[in-house]
Amino acid sequence: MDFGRKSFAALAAATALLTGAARLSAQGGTITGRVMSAANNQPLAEARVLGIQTTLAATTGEDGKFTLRNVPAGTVQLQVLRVGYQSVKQTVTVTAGQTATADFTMQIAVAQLEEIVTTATGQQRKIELGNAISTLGDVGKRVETVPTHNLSDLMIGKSPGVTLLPGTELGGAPTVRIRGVSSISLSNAPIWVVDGVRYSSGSLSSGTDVNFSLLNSLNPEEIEDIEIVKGPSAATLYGTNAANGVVVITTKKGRSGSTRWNWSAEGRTVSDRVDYQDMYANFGKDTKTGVVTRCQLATMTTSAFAGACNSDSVTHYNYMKDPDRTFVHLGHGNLFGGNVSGGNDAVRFFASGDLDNETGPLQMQGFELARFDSAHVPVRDEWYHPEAQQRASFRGNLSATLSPKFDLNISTGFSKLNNRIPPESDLIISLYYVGMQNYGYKGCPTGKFPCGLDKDPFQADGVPLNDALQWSPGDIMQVTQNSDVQRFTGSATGSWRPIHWMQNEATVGVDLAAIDFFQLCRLTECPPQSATAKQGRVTDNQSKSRNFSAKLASTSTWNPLQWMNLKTSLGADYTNLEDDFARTNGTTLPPGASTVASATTRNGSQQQPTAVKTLGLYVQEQAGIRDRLFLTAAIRTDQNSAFGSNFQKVYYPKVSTSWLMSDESFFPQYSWLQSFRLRAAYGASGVQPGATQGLITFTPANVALTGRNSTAEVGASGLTASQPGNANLKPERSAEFEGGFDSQLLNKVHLEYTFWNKKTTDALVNITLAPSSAASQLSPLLNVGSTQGWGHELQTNIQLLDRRSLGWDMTVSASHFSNKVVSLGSVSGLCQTSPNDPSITPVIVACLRSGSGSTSGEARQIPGHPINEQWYRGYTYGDANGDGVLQISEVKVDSGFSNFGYKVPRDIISIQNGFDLFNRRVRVQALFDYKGGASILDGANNFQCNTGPYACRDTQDPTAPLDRQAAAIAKTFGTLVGNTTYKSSAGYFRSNQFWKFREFSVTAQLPHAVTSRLRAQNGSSLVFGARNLHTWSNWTGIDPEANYGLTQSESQNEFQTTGLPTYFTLRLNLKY
Amino acid sequence: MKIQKNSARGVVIAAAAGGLLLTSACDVNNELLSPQNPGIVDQTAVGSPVAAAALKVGAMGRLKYVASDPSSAGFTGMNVWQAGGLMADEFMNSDFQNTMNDVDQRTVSPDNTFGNYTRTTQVRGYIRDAIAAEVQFEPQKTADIGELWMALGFIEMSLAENFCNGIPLGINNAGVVDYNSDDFKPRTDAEVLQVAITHFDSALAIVGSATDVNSVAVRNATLISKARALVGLGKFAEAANLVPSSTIPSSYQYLFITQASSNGEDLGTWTLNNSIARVSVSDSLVNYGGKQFQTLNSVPFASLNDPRVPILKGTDAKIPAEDGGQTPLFIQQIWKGRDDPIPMVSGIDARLIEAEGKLQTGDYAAMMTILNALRTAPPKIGNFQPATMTAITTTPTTKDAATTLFFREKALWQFGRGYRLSDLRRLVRQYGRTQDKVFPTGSHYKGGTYGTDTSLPVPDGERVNPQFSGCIDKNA
Repeated sequence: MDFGRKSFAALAAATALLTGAARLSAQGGTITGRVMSAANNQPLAEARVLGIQTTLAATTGEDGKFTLRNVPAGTVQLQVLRVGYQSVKQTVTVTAGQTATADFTMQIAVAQLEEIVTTATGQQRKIELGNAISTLGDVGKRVETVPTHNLSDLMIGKSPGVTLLPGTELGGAPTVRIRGVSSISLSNAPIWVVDGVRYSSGSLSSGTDVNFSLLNSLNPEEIEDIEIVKGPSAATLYGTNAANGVVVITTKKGRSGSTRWNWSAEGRTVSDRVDYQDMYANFGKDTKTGVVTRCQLATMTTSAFAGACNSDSVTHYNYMKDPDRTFVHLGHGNLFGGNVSGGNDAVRFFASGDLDNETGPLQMQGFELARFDSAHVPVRDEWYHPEAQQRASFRGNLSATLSPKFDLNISTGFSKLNNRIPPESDLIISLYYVGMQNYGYKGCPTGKFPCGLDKDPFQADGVPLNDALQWSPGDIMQVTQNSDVQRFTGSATGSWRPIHWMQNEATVGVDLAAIDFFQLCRLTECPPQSATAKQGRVTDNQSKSRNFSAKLASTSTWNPLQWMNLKTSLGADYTNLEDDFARTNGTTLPPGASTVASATTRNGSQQQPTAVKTLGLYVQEQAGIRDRLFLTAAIRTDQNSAFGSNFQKVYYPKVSTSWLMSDESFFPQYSWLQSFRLRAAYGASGVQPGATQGLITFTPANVALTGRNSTAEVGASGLTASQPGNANLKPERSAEFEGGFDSQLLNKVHLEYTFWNKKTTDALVNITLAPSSAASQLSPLLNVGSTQGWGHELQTNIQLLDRRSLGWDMTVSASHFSNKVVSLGSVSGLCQTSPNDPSITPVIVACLRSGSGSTSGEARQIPGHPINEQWYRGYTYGDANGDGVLQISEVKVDSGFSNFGYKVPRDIISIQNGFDLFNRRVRVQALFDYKGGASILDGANNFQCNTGPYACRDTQDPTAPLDRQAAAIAKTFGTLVGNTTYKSSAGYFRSNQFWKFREFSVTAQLPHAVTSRLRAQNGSSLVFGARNLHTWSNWTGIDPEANYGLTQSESQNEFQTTGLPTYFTLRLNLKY
Repeated sequence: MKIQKNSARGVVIAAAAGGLLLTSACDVNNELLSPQNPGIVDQTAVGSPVAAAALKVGAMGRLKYVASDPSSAGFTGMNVWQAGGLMADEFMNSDFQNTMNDVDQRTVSPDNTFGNYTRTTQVRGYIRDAIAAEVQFEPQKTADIGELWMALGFIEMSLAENFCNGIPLGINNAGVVDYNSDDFKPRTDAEVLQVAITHFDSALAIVGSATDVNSVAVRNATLISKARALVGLGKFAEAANLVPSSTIPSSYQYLFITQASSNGEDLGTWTLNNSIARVSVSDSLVNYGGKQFQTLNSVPFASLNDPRVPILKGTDAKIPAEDGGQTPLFIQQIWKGRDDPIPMVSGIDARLIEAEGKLQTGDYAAMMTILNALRTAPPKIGNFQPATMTAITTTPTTKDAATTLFFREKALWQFGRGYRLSDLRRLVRQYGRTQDKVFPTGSHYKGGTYGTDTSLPVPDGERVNPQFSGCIDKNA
């Protein structure tokens, strides 16, 4: 198959044809000018000057000046665009070899209709697109004025349709979903592109249940613009793997003008303000023996239960809030950074360097410090402050105009991210586990085991527990865990305009990341959680990610008619995403040793390297009619190394229209309506299978044989079948329609509305085979399903007050989505269509179940039901004797399962207010956001009420509401039917809707007296900021936003972890 | 506008040159898009005698999943020997997971996640792959082929002994499954044992009377295994005749060897009991949460201090039970190390099959002779050498007493080796005792009471097989 050869030849031929057929210009002229703000008569930097229906484009420098070269002689219409200003147009006449002047003055506006966006074919006016694309323009200003430490902080609550669950740990991975989910078995995460290069955004396994994100290595201080391409209708030209959306990031570039320096310094506090719940102890006596014991509400009066209990008193205790005991203290952080930019028309540069340090709220307690001190064990800083992060980032971007026809942009970024990962949220050794799940009383009356009711005052090796459960916090903090990332991202983009109507752009770039996860317990360190734990253990996992991206795009414009402009784009791109992973670990370390090489027993495994390569070609034709109606049609074809050998290529079509109706003569003129644009788009894109899922593979293993001679044949090399392969494997294909409008009302309101409907066919589903088939792969991936999602998005910007002394602007975003499984196909013999749960006949339960059915919920895929819908056994309860305490018999758990709905938030609302005070020298901003429409598992209570010492309120406190008592009984005891006990965690699967006071900031421009003393320029500012100030919710757990344990089945969960920390920051921005 | 022909020509030439350069410099399809995944072992690597041998090694490694620990992850990583021991009275739950507790309490929902069922039955596929490869590429290696047939029978026997009636023994063809095949029809445990016996016979047939050391070892292991299956079918005399001491010495052992330096190869009992304390050796009296619980019918393994099941108390072990130290932890000392070998079958098993043959014929004295011979000259269990015990001087006079004594001795000799659940089921099925007089019964220390399950259920995951609609029955 010579697909690639033919396609490249076709591309070359088409380019040649276009070129030859088109008209060429005579020698061009030059246009120079300046763009000023009408508000203050100051030059406007970063304004985009475009030649309408041409490829001419320039950006103003710090002095507001711009130059357009190689302009064809004749008349050209220029348009100037800038975020926050109304666009302006001007017609300019150019004479060959001469320089024309065109100056512009721009008015402030709330409208964002005329922005420039970066698309797959290059920069385009937003008005030309039939899609909704969210733009976080002017990121630099946001970062300066709102506490922003990572991409989560930057993106959360800013764009309708984007669900972002931030990581709750320092450096934790955010979960980003755009327009819900559509894949049953594949990732629903968007892809990321930074300066034209595919950017790895995966999570790093930390060895605990907390994942850390590669996204954290990208410093928000370096970002100029983020665009969110939301679905296949917009992402068609990004090809296979773009069906879940694309996040396009552009880093800052230099601007011509005098050299400008920006210095920033920030100090911050980090506090854990979670309202940790009390634990309880119900003191009583065994009715038979009189022995003091812990009463359980459900069995206190049940004589059938051995040792029924007479309750005496109930105590409660909160280890996490006890200042004598807690390991939660005030964390802190700081940032120091600077950047410089400048240059001239020929060469522009931007360089930056930032150092961000943060120490989380976890800190070793005084009594543990004293214990180590008395044992003459020096306390290492990584034990004392087990949660910390340091990020050093450097960027150097260069833009050069090498000739009037050729520009070169070079973008380079290096970052070094060091995470000190606290041992938490892990079931075995977790700080939050031992603190949250305490006994419900403090102290130890008897001083020896058992003390009080059931408390063991000592760890198994005799270390005092000081009211913690099972492990001493000091020993846990000895578990040293680091995750370190070193990353380089670089790209070079050449832009060649051989003739004024043609622009050719080529980009090549790499994203290289070296990642190291290291975990260490030296000899005699860490809790004795296993027989070998104290002998020392070390894990060193190293992985490398190598992305190579190359892109060619050629765009030609011509005017076949005076009122029509045609823009033809041809493009090709290639990505090669490679990963490899090496894991080593060792046990039994000599004193002081900390390397795998020094371990007595060493294990090593090499995960197979993977490479996924995509070659895509596309052609797009856009017609602009009178610069108000835009029609676009495009098609892209992809070939991908992960496709099955029988499937060679895939085609993704796209059509869209954008119509600025208010510019039409027939459109009624209303004083309250300044502009109105209709838009609609249809497009397709895909999600590729995993790198090797189409291949027949075998798993190598060195195994010790069975000893038929009573002699071990140790280390023999063996093979077992791994997967049978699938030659017909092809990408999941999503096709989306979206339509909506943008309008400008009352000169104060900008309103955007979008409806979208996405259908996914050939959905890749991990079909379940019966275990008895003895197949090597019991969940092969097949293209058998289809799904559908739809939703609404609304965003409005309102300038409520616009006086010199006082300004008030508001941005409101809201979105809602739904989805469902449409079909799971009918692959005979692979996927049963009869129910496997009699309670839900006759629907197709199919073969897709996950989770432990006995108590936990399970994500089921049922046609007509939401994707990953959560199913639990329901239950009923009633306090028959009216004593306020439920017994086991008063709770009835169903044997069948019922649906409990969505697990990913469907309703997203954010309200951002900005107030400009004191002649706009002070700006106050506040962001509130809401997530709702889904439920998650309150994993902490679900666990604590069901496991020793059973000290949660639901099982101990007679005043606990009946619904909470019932939840605990359903989980722990269930209902016996026949000889099967049916239990349920349904009572802990609860709505997690909430409002959060997400951001607050006060930005004060430094007075002239201060800036002059500092020799700084106007625009220098002092910012007080806060993040995650308060949460309003009925959530019973720690944080309704926790994304702990989020897996492919979108099983958001919360399990004995912490919530988002609250930040208070003070930042100084100095400009020179 | 006027067309500038020179410029157009230049662009045409440049584009054409670029296209040619791209298409001629490399074969795009092969160079740019080939998977190039060097870590993959693909189908080109199999299809040779060397590969056949490797598939055999891989399959036999997976056979150990009945006893080893591939994941260290609690119940889903618990092997079938341990799950059976937990449902019986060898182990008790010291973990926090419901899934573990339900098995311990004998009230298991079939939608419980049974990694051990899946892993166990999946081994059948690996063994079949290896048999096919060995027969094709190394037909002369009769001991190896016989060993694989023996392994297939052993896996099937393990399923029958531990899981309910209603076990399909399906097959697949390169991952393609035909659920209409009779292979997917659920079979009773007796039928599965019969299938296992045919595979043991295949092993014996191919090994024949060869006298090389490998063939003898495989033949002995197969004979013991077949005899064990026959016992399960109640064919006691036929079973005893297969394993006389003249054929199978008491010292014989076919060992599962694990390997500490290989990931996931730890001995499961060591991991779950000795290392991470998710199960504790069981006792008839349990002090939990300040209360004393008595479990009826349980052999008090932890407090007996029997030389065959030495126990380390939890406080001496310096580790707590995984449920926050709530359950008293008793740690077995037969396999102290993570890679101590554990017998799949042994001469002890052969003697006990002979002894049960005597029990069945009412020759209690002969039974006692065999049992006392083991006590006074105890063979090794893996590397563990039990201390010499005194002979039992009182010979039971009734079958009931003899049965009780025999199965207690058997429980102690074969502790932790996948026999106990099957033996308790046989006490119900073959000796006429009721389950409440055999299995752990009464109040459970973690709340509630013991149920009436006498086997592990085939889990609901099997329901994608349209011929399977749950256990045929859960009878012993």
